Amino acid sequence: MKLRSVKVCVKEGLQGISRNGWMVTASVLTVSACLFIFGIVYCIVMNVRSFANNLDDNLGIVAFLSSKVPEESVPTLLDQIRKMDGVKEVQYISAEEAWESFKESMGFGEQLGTDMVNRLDQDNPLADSASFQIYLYDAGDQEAFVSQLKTMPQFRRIQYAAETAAVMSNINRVITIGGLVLILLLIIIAILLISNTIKLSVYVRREEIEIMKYIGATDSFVRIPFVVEGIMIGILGSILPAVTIYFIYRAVLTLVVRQFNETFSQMIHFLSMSEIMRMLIPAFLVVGIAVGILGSLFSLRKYLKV
Amino acid sequence: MIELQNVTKIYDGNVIGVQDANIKIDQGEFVFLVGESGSGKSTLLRLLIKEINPTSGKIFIDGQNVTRLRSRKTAKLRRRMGFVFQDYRLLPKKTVYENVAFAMEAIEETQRRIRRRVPRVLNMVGLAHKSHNFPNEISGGEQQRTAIARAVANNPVYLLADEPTGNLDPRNAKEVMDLMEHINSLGTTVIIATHDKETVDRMQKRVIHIMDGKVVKDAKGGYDI
Ligand SMILES: Nc1ncnc2c1ncn2[C@@H]1O[C@H](COP(=O)(O)OP(=O)(O)OP(=O)(O)O)[C@@H](O)[C@H]1O
Ligand SMILES: [Mg+2]
Repeated sequence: MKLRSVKVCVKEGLQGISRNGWMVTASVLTVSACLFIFGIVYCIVMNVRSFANNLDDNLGIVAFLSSKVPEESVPTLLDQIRKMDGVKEVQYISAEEAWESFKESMGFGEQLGTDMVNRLDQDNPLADSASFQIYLYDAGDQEAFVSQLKTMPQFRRIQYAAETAAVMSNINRVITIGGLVLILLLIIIAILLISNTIKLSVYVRREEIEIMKYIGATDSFVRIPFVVEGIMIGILGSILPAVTIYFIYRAVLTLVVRQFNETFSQMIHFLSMSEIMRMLIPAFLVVGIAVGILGSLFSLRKYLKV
Repeated sequence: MIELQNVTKIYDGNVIGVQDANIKIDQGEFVFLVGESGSGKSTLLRLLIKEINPTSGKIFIDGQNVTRLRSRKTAKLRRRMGFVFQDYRLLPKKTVYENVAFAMEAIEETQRRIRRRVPRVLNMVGLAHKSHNFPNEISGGEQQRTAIARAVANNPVYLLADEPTGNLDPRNAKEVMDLMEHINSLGTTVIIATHDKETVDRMQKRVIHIMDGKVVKDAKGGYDI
């Protein structure tokens, strides 16, 4: 198609929008509403996922080495574990390291240190707490993995958060699937809404379309102005929710930082504004434009059969 | 050249539109399609512009079998045909000029060519002075001539008109027919469906007479069989 005629089509698309001003406004707003809910769902799903992943990271399996395992054979054993199915990471924590990191993570002052040593006498960290910290790709697999570890004589005790892991991975799955279904539904609703608006626009111009077809206009030429109209509705409809969600998300982030103390907000790690927007804005545009194109194609099918 | 071979069109409900028509129309001819109301004149024209497809038989236009065409090919075919609707079908919100230009825009002509061609066509149909009027501001005869201008804007090989004088008084009817003859003299094949006996008798052209969907006469001369 020649460039010039594309210009004519775009002009006519714009005319279509101005001709059915109210209908277009209504449809832009409903598309906005759909995309807004889409955006909220997206923010929730992404944060829950990131939260769950974060938690997964902290849900390592701790396998305490038996005292019979000599220090020299540790690297071989480490290698053996690393090669097992589903293992993301294995770390060897010697008794000394365990103690250090324990003190650090609890944030106890120096004066309490001696106290702790006394209290933990029976499970002396300096003597008997060399361990492997094992992280799996999917925390949901922990149960099976642990039963495998239990058959190995090199480990004396195995610790893991069985239920938390399972629940987290379930929540993650449910929210992701539920979110996707909801988003799909919203997309279908938006397509129907846009197609209704364009149908009106097509109806207003049905005579013109018919005459064009008899004169020898190609289907694609007839379609373009309506597709342009649909795309414009899609783009206009994605601006408002993008702006709204920006401000809402910003408010939520500030609230979280202000309301909860540092440790908590570190544990429930919210995705940053740029992490959210980097995905959401292109998604809005792509969905808006795709919905616009599909909606206009649906509404034109009947009239192109002449 | 247009050639119909055993063309039959039966509408839903077993209504016969056209039955077993065998017609050949050469380049540059001027043909009247006559017959009573309901005899099948419009059906024949609608078959030619592919608004409808024949139930059986074949239609060749310039050697191409057009009985089964894809939408893109249909568009290409229609560009060779100018069609004047019985009810004009001008766009009420466009001026005379814009209505004619619309036909050229629809087939993606450049603005330069449109600006050059439209005034010429309007001049030919004698409507240059009404260029900027809307259809409801001009007479029936003028609307008919606008429709003809739109049909010839893209320089069609064939000009098809359905009852072009149906709603016109004798003076306007004569003007329109004179215009048709002029267009024909420039090389365009003209096919006109009409039951305007007076005009047909006066012009003494080739007449294809249809009765109940069947061709009953195909000869030069007047309206009657
Ligand atoms: N879309 C249709 N569906 C069913 N029957 C139709 C249809 N169009 C036309 N017919 C029938 O086909 C026959 C031929 O109709 P057609 O319109 O071709 O006649 P015509 O010669 O053009 O008549 P007129 O002079 O009144 O315009 C008529 O009996 C008519 O009722
Ligand atoms: Mg008719």
